[in-house]
Amino acid sequence: MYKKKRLWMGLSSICIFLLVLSFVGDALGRQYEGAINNFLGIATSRVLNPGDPDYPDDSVEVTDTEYFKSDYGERTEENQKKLVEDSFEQIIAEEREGAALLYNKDNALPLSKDERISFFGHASVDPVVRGSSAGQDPMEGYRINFPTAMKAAGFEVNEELTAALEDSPITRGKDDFWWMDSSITTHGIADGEEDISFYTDDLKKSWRDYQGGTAIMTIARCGQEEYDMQVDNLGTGRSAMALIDEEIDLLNMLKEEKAAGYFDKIIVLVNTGSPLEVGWLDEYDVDACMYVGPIGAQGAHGVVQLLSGEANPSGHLVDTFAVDSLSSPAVVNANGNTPEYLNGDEVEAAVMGKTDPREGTGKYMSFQAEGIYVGYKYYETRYEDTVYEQGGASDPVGASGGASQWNYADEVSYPFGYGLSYTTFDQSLDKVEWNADEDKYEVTVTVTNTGDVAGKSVVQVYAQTPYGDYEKENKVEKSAIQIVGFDKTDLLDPGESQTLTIDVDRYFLASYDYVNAKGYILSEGDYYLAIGDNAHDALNNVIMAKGVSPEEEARMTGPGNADKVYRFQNELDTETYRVSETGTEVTNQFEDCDLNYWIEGAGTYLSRSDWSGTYPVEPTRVEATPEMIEILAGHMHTKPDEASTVAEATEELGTDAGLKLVDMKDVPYADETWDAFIGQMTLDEMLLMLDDSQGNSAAVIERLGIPAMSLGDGVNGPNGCTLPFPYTADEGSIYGSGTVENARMACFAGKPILTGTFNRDLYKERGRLIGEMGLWADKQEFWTLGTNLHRTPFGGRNFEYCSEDANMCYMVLIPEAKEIEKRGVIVCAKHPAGNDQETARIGVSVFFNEQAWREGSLRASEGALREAGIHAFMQSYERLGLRSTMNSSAFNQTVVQDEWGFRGNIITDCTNGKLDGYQGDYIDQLAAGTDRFCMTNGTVAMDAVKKYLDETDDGDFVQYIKRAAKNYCYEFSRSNMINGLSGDAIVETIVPWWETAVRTMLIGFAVLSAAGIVLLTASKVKERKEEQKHEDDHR
Amino acid sequence: MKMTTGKLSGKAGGYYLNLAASVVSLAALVIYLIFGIVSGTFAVSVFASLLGGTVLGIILLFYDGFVGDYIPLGMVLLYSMSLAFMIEDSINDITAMFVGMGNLFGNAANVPVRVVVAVGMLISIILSVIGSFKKRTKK
Repeated sequence: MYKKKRLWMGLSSICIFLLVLSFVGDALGRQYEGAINNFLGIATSRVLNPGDPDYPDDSVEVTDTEYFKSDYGERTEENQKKLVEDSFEQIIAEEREGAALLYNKDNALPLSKDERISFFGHASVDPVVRGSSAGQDPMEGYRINFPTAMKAAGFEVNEELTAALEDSPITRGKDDFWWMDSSITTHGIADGEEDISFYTDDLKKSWRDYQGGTAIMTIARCGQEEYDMQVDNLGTGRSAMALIDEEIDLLNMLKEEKAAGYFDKIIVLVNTGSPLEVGWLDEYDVDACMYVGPIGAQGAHGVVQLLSGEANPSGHLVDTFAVDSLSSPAVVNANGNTPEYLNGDEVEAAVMGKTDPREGTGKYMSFQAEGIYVGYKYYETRYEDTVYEQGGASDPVGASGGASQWNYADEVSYPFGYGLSYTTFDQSLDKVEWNADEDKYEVTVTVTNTGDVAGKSVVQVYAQTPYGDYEKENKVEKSAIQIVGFDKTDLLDPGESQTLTIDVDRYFLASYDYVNAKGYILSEGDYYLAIGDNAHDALNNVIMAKGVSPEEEARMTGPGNADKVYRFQNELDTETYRVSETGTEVTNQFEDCDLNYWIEGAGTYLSRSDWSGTYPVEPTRVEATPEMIEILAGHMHTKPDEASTVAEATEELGTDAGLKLVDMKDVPYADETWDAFIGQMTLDEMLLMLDDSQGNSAAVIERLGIPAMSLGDGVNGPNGCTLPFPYTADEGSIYGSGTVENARMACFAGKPILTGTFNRDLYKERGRLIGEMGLWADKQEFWTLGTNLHRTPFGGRNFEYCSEDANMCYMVLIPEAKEIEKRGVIVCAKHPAGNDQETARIGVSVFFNEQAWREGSLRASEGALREAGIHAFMQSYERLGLRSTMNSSAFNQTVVQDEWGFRGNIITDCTNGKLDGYQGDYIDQLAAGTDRFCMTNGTVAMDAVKKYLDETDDGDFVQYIKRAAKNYCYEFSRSNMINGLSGDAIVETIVPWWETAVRTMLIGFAVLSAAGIVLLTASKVKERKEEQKHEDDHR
Repeated sequence: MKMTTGKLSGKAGGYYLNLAASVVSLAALVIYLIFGIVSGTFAVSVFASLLGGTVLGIILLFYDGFVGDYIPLGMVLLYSMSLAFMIEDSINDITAMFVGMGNLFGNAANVPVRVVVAVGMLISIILSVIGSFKKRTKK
């Protein structure tokens, strides 16, 4: 044995190698424990209640611990099927009520069932079902395209053409995103269309032989997380919102085919979450056009119901469809136009860390010169000022296509709120009453179906507030029109009427005066509440109510009706909204987000008092000063002079108060019991709550009854949400076919479509279903909702945000958020606030004035966080001025918590990895109100905090760790995490099998390595002795 | 050449395998040094462990005393550690390669060089392990 030295050497070296690998496996396993467990679907805790077979004490009384119950009853396959199919019906309903009919020449729609349909455009067979970001793809076998839906509805479809499109190698994918559905990925580029040569003479025979019928062309665009839609599409000089060459060629071909009699009609479906430019419909002899948005898994059925007349369109646009999307003033400094600081390289060098992989993200700035004039607020306000010849509105600056004067008709194809119906409605404004107790106006409107077919009508209520001398002096800008309320009728038969009363929150009539009052004001002067078919129609009604001369009326685009307007007066009021309902003064918090705060006169905001002098004609760039760079670099937190030591600050921690998480489920946030509960934890236990791994399997504290946490991510339907049973549709079902072993969350329609239904019942139902599926899949938190603005048409994630209008976002998100949380699934809204672009989203310095911020991006998130009372949100990547949202106590604490009363957990967007630059500023971020760090996947934040405490002994910092732990526990005490937890419940930690395996290997190889070395040494000693003996013998 | 041949004449397979391991690790070391500096991702842990393994390999070319039989084990240990540190250091870049989305997770462009260096380390480990089974001298 001792003679086998080489063998022991070799085996030892193998064992050492494997030992080191085991160490790596163990270390990486610890670091990415949550991610691994998520991937393998491993639970790291289990709950034992009295009555459970493994519960150690049979004498304890059994209590009902199902605090959040499903509407679908017991967990059975049959009940799950009902849930899944309700979600399919919801998707269809969203599309049926959210798709907006834009154009319908000579009543080309609805189609007769005897019309043969030929589908063109690759998206007809591969439609955009959702945008490219985290979210849920349709289940296998349950993705319905347009030809399939058309056939299911009984139409004859040109099968040869459909098959050719399906077999075509063309896709929209431009990159290998294995975690996304590659067919929906575009990298922000308009592409994915067959070249015209695809339509060969043989293929043309498939429709020419038929003679007649309808051509339906689907045009798709798809934005993507991290990538905005292109302002210059692959260097063509056209934006991604304009037609690409392949589409132009196809439209020309269809026009020729129609002229030759091969088609009777051309119908265009716009399949995108962004407002496509559609000013070309007449040019290509298109008969009808419908905006269908991202359609979700089964939404094609909803579209076909509209095309066939089985349902009547009632959806309306939630964005302005501009003739030229680049005419929006917000585009000048955003998206692909986002400029670098003049000293960008210097800024980059200062803000990037040594191990930060995000090279090139630190040098951008975006000055939001548009101020409040986002979307229709720009186009409609400038329109009114052209009518009244105010502020040089007709001047050519900003006019599309280099026109000699700005003219509304040349700028807007379809305004915000636009949408046609197959019937006609009359809407009369019956009365407006002021409800002082609830601080709202009650607008009563009677709607009558005056046409021939049944339909639903949307009542849109808009407001105009005064723009007088005070406002001009103090830079208080006013949109000429803004939506403040809406409702939708039931299905009205011809001749049938319905009266609706719509609440208008007076808060929406207030304006933020950041110059003089430094707070919200109600302006002095005339106020107008108007109904209208869309924003432009409502404004025309207001203009007529204000009065116009014949010359002014001649400058109007479209008629107006003063009878649809209610006028009242108000004195200047700077006090009503001075203090929020929490008792906190509402005043300037973001002065340092204005570029002019740092460099006087550096930025000019668009003002209706001087359109031509203030319209941004080129990106604003500045040289960041040393002071600015210091803030941009972050890492500014220092230990206070009088700080306690960590030992002093943690002395009382770990004191048992006999409280478990479930005991806290009804304890208000401010109650001192929370201090006692949190005081039971050790510092190390609190630190477990800082790092996220798309869930938290590490923060299991048995003695406090805190189980592991699991979550899902996505606005169109959170991912990772697997239901307990398989799903199989009934034979012949329109939903799809086949058995899906891992049935999962539905793939709902794009948010602009849901928003465009203007139907609060559908908003609620979306929330109810997402919440139910979360409950069934044992999810406690969903990163969802989508609270950001369509600041421009090019926003890469417009598909998952509601609208260009902040009030609309505010109103739409409340019902959905409330319904999700009713199921014990916490809504972690993403991404308050200002996450309005993808280009350079990580680290771009966004500069704005406080009026634009409060009435825009902030308002868009306010409904969910303040009104709906959700318990978590994920911050924006973009900086608020110089500070990242994660570092902004003005945002995280003063506004969100103090003013709005938000209580819950605040998580960063993905900070993933070892960051030591401005993104890895964990210490400042915790101090600024951030509680949790997204996808650090292990102990990155924890380690950073421990290091800081070790180096500084800053006991005062412990308060932030305690706050983060409290917010984590507060959030999940309101979630279905407590389902199944009684006061007597036992939470047990489960060690995952892979951890056991890795550690066994580690120990095994350590022992074998040691044994090998011992045997090697013994062999060598023996060998040495033998050599010595041999030498001695020779002597 | 004669002198070299003379010096190498008494060497056996284990010696040449250690020599090959050292040459490969030296190449990996140089590549990593350049890559680390250029990409700004230089990690002392990776470099130091790889350098340590290489130095041991070079020592073994000239020394064959009592502890000489432990040096190959040290080489395997240090090469393995360098590979381990490299893997740990590459997670973000590898994630970026699979996930995409620009530089959100890491830098996918770094991955090919990292793979080259890691393969060099692995070859050095394998050569050293095989060399451990072999005699380094003919006597």
